[in-house]
Amino acid sequence: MTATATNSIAQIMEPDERLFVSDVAGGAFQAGVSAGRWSLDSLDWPVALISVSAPPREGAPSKFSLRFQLAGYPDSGPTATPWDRVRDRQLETSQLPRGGRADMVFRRDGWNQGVALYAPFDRVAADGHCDWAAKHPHLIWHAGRNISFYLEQVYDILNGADYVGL
Amino acid sequence: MSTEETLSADSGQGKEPGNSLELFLHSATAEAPVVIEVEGTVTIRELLEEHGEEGEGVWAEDAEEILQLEVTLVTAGIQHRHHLHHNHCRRVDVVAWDGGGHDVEKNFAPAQTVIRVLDWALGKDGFNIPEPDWANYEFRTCGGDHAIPLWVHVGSLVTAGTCGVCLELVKKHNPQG
Repeated sequence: MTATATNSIAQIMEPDERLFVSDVAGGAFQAGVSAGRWSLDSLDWPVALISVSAPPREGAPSKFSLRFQLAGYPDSGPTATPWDRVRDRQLETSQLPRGGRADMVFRRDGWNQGVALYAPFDRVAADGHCDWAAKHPHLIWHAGRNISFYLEQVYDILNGADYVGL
Repeated sequence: MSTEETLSADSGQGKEPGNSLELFLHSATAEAPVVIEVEGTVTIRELLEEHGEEGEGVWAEDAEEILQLEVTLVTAGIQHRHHLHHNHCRRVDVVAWDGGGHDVEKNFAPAQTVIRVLDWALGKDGFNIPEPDWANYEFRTCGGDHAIPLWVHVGSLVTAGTCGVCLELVKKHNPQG
């Protein structure tokens, strides 16, 4: 696609979508794509499907899909639901990643019906924990972050030594 | 809009020497690189004239040796989607702090990735952390507000106007409750 065409598309986008597309085209996101850490599978604003890779574990997938809600980005932080791309629906609890920090972030106990990741970088989880911003500023979303910040956290959890698969 | 076509990565397969290369160019100004497109036949000097500043050096990712100014990208072995770093600093002085009053120091080439610095800080020449625990640690810049991704170049973390950086070694955790 030419720069002119890209600019034309950008002109008809709302600011939140334009900023997201700009971040996705930027070095941090594209370096992650190039290294195989994640990929943008689809974008139908304000919803994006992004896959984050995971190391080999018996019976577990090589990547997990997240369905992001991005309205208001980046002033309003992203929130993501683990997603079954084949069935196009929320991932079943039994298919969530497990082990260590993954158990805490991909909760299997029905918290919030599993629609968001339980972590300070997720808007839905952070909205319910006013103390997190002060206690965990390094993990909290703010408008100076971009989508790669959220993905870095998820990638780190899935690729940690404590990740065991499903 | 077909964003899958627009935004997905080019694998880079089939790129021939002399064709334009998409590169990730890191610098002292930001943790994240910028994406640039250049011909493989440009020299390091020409690259700096276009994208850097006079007096800077250029390194391939994780390389110790500075690239010679008159060498072309292709001759230097630079390929599509490779990472380069330009910086005034020839070496970066790293002080790693454990948050408890102990620190260790070493200098690195600017294009060294943080994972290499972390390995040193955790190892026997650093804080001598037992290797099974290494995956539980990460760096933050001292006073910084986020964990530093392992792919960031240490030269991108230097304090403005210096060739040094202070890194705090911390244990990873996720809040509960």
